Amino acid sequence: MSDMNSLFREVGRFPLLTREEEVSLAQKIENGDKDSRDRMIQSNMRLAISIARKYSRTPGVDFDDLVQESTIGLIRAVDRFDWRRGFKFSTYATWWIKQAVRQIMNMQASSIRFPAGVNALIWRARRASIEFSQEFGVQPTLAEIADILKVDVKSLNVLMQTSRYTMSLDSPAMNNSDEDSSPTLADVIPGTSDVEINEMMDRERFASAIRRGFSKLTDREEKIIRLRFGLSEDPNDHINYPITHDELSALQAKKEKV
Amino acid sequence: MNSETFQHGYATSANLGGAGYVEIANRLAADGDPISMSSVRNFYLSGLRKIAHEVCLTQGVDKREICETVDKMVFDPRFQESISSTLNSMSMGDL
Repeated sequence: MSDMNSLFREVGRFPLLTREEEVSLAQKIENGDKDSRDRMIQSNMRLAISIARKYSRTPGVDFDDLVQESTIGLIRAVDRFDWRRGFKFSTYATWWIKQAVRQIMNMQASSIRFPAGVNALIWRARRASIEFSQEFGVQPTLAEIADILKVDVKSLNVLMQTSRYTMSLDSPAMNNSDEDSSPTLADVIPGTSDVEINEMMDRERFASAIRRGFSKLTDREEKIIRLRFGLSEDPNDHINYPITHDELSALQAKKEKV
Repeated sequence: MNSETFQHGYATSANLGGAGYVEIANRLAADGDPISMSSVRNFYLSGLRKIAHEVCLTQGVDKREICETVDKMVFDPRFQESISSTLNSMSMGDL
């Protein structure tokens, strides 16, 4: 924890960046300026730590690991930040940091220790599968294994799915190649997260603009738009979709004339 | 699509998922709020203009061009469909 304390002290030395500074640094980073990259990372470390801190309340998760992963997420964000899209860096980086932190949490979750009885059941299921295929020459279905072990198929399915071993993305993609020069799984599996994150942020930005637009609508405009888009659950609901006082007065005046 | 219909805001997109102007006018009238079909259209377009204005600001449209862009956007069925789809996502809690 003393390492962490010194990290916190170190991080506190770097001032937060203004939007203009962010854009200027991002432009320099694009041109390969390493110092700008370092400054962008250092100035946003507080964000990475604050996100890691939020997730650290989960039992069994190590805070140091979270800070490490959130920093990796931050570095990815710095390397991929496109200042032309107009996002504030912290908004963009938050997605990457959270994704990195969630990944490590999922990995830790997959190493949950099963009770001894469950472990034994998983072992028996694997054993039964091997023996079945040796005897009959075909792989047994899950229902057949469940029948052999006299257990519920659904429960067995859940256990088998959960107990699948995980592979590191850093492991070599080809078994026979030299470990140092071989491409890793991370190199050969196509990533989609860049596109997903950008799309998600565009959608979120569009949704925020709509929310702001909605807040400027009169009640009558909102009611009509909701009806037009099929969003009004009850067109008779005047509590949630009332008309404005001005509109009501105009209507009453019109009614009185008639 | 008839260009005249399109430019006057009567373009109806099959994918909006809600009611037409006549149906909305009838519903409001049944609720004691008599309104003509063209007024429904006017309220609808004025509401869409406000939303489109915010979208333009978000997209960094030049302030001198916003009015013209907003007018083009609100009459465009594709914009109306994207609003509809986003609103539905929002109402389902996806956004």
